[in-house]
Amino acid sequence: MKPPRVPDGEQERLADLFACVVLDTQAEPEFDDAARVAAWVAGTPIALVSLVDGSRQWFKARVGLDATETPRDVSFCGHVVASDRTLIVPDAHADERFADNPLVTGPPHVRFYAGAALHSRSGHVLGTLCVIDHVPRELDAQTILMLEAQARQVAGLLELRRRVREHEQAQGALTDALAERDDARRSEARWFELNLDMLCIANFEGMFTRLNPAWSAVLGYELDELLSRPFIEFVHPEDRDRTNAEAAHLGGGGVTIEFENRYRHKDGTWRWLLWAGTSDPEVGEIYAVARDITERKRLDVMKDEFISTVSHELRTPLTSIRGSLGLVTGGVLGEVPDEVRSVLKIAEDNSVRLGRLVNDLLDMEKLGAGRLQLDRRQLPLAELLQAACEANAGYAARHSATIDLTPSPPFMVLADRHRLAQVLDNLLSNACKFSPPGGRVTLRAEPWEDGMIRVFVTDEGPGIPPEFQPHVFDRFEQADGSTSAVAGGTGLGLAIARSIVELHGGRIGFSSRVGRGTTFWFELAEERSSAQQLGATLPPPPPGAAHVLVCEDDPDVASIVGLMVRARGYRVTEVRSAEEAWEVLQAVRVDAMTLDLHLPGVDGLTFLQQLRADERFADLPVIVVTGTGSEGLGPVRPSALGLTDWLRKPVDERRLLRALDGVRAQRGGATRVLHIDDDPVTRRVLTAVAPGLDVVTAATVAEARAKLKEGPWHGVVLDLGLPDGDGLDLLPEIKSQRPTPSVVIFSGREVDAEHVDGVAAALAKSVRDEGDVVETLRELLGRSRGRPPRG
Amino acid sequence: MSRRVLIVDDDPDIRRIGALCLERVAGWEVVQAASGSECLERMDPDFDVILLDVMMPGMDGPTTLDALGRRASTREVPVIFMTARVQLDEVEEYLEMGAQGVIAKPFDPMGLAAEVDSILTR
Repeated sequence: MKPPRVPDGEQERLADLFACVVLDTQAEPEFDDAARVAAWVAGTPIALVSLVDGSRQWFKARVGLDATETPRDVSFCGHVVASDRTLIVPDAHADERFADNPLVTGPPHVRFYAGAALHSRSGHVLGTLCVIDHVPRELDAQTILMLEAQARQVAGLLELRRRVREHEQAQGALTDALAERDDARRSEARWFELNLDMLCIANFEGMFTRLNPAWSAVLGYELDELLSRPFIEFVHPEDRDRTNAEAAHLGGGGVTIEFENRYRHKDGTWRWLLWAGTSDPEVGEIYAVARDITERKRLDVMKDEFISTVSHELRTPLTSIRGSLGLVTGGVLGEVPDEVRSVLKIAEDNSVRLGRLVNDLLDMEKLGAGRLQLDRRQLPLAELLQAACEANAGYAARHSATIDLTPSPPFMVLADRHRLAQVLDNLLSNACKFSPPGGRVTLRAEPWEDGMIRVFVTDEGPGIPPEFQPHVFDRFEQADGSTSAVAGGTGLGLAIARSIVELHGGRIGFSSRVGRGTTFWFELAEERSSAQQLGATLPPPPPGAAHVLVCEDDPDVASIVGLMVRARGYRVTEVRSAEEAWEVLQAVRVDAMTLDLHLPGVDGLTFLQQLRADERFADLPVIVVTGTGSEGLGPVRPSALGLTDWLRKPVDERRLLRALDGVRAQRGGATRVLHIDDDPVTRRVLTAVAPGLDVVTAATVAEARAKLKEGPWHGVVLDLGLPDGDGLDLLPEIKSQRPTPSVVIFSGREVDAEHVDGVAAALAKSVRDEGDVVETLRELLGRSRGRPPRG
Repeated sequence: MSRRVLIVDDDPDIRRIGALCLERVAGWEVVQAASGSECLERMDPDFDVILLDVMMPGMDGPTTLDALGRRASTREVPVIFMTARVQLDEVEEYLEMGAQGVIAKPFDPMGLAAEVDSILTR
């Protein structure tokens, strides 16, 4: 006997079989009928629907047989499963595969067998529809075909069964999932309802779509009232612009943290809300949480008032005490016995110290509350160090010490002048205090790692005892009581210095050896202005660039101002005197000038008056860049001279460029670019990398059409796949513009610019970035635009 | 250089100390006023400078400064605020109001005259 082979893909075959969930089930009329028909067609006493699993064949339907299953290895049907072919055995006795099969030699005494495969949907053979007789037989071809056709019907029944079963399972899973989701929704709703914070969902059209009851509790309105009007109507008029900007930022995929605005309470008062939010641009929803911080704000104001009042109330009596004592010990009220004077001196010193303590406490309070606002500007460090030396020279002299300033390179730092002076004063006065008589305090600055500058203050004092070193920057810590009395400090100075340095993004530290002296240091980031950074690689200005004349006698200042302006895409000519400036003005067109007032020869003010008297230059925009404030003008008002702006040195780069850009825009010289792209990130990045270009954005074809009408446009950056159409559809309208803008396609779709009429260049997003687009645009604009039109 | 100074403060101790500092240390002539309105009464164009307290009951310093500026006879006399409120933003505010300078309380008694001098000559 030859047992049937196990076919390839047996695992998958069994999975298909089990998926039908048919094994060991009750008899069913559809399958019984199929077997009956097969027996009738073949004219045999026995017919079976046999399914073959791993170990047996099991009969789903049987005609003329009592057994319900037999082992697989003696089954005829196993051979059909293995061969995937209809098996006809005319006489089992004459077939060596089956002659000694127990089913042949014993009951049910099989002599004739014909079995047709039952295929699963994926082509595996699940079993057979077979007919069996006890005598040898032949089947004609037509009968075999009919048997096979009947087998396909049975396979169809099995497949139907599998699908129903699968559907039922899916249905069950769905029901479970739905129940689970309902549970989640119910608990979410509970959180939403119970939350003490104000939770909201808003759409991009500016309406709330869902609010929790906390809104009603805080603002006094019914939720329906809040839901029925655009939320901006509830916002304080002064906060609306900021709020709209924040909502736009959120809508563009941004995140809001720590945004504050005021909402109207139904009783007409205003509530301060603190916001956190995010959005889902896909769904078009903004999700945000607000917290009522009105009370906190009120307490802040009260605290400020309290502190301010206390400090005033403390300083007023101190003024009298210190004044009285100072006059007596100063000897102006007559001679005082030495002993009396020395005691009064103690009182005076302590009144001075008390005054300092009030100042330090105020600073400490501000620092602690994070409310110390730095007024950071670009400053030349050397100048600050020089000023600090001068300011502390008197103090040093009183302690018989001297301060030496080591010259340093001309670093620029971004710092708050007064706060930095406070740090330097603190370190220098400490160093002087602890210097031995005749001691030397040195101050120097050096470039340090990571673009930082380190400032060192070194003394020749006794050094800091090792056990005290960990506490140097703690509040109210001094090395010991006696030192404190001699030094007259408040114990807050170094803590304040550390806070200020850290607010500047730097570090502070020291090294000290007992008997050898101490060096305190702190670090500040070196401020390389964007002009300086760009200086090396600055591209030449585009041919149409506005021309700025920089009149400044100090070559360093002139080159810095020149670089700032050049980096912004202006053409710059530098001159050192009013006379030179006059020559340039006669010779070439100048769109604006910066003017230093302290010039050799003809001074700036006189020159300015000459300019204004000449009708050719009466309207020339002039920005004064000088060392003093406009009070230096005396009775003359800046506006009377037609000044665009008045800047004090060191030059505030942003303010200078703003003034110049304002001039350029007013003169119609601004280069206007329309950027059409539905991706908010691309829009934002492109605008950010295009300084000097006036970029307006549009997200859809419709929006672009509207914006095109607001021309003139000098350039258009075009994305192709837009939500409401193809960017190329806009080309006819773009081409009809006068002047005709240069068009650069910037899209995910690759386009050959040469084949699209009216397109100057095409850049694929996959390989080029926004910077490339802007560069291409500048090149094109430089070529196509001559001088900017004058308005 | 001898100067004629009007010192205005509601605190009599501070007025007296301030006057002593300028008279005894620098030898200046000092007139005292206890309020904004008294300042306007005693004011004349021959003063070289007014030292004006900021926080006073009734007419405070800024109001007084404004009133002085409205009179042609007193407009040209420089005003220096003397105040215990000298946070940076406050100082800038005072200067914007038209003060020539600000002296912080408590002041250095022996150096007060020099401080006034340096403000007036800068």
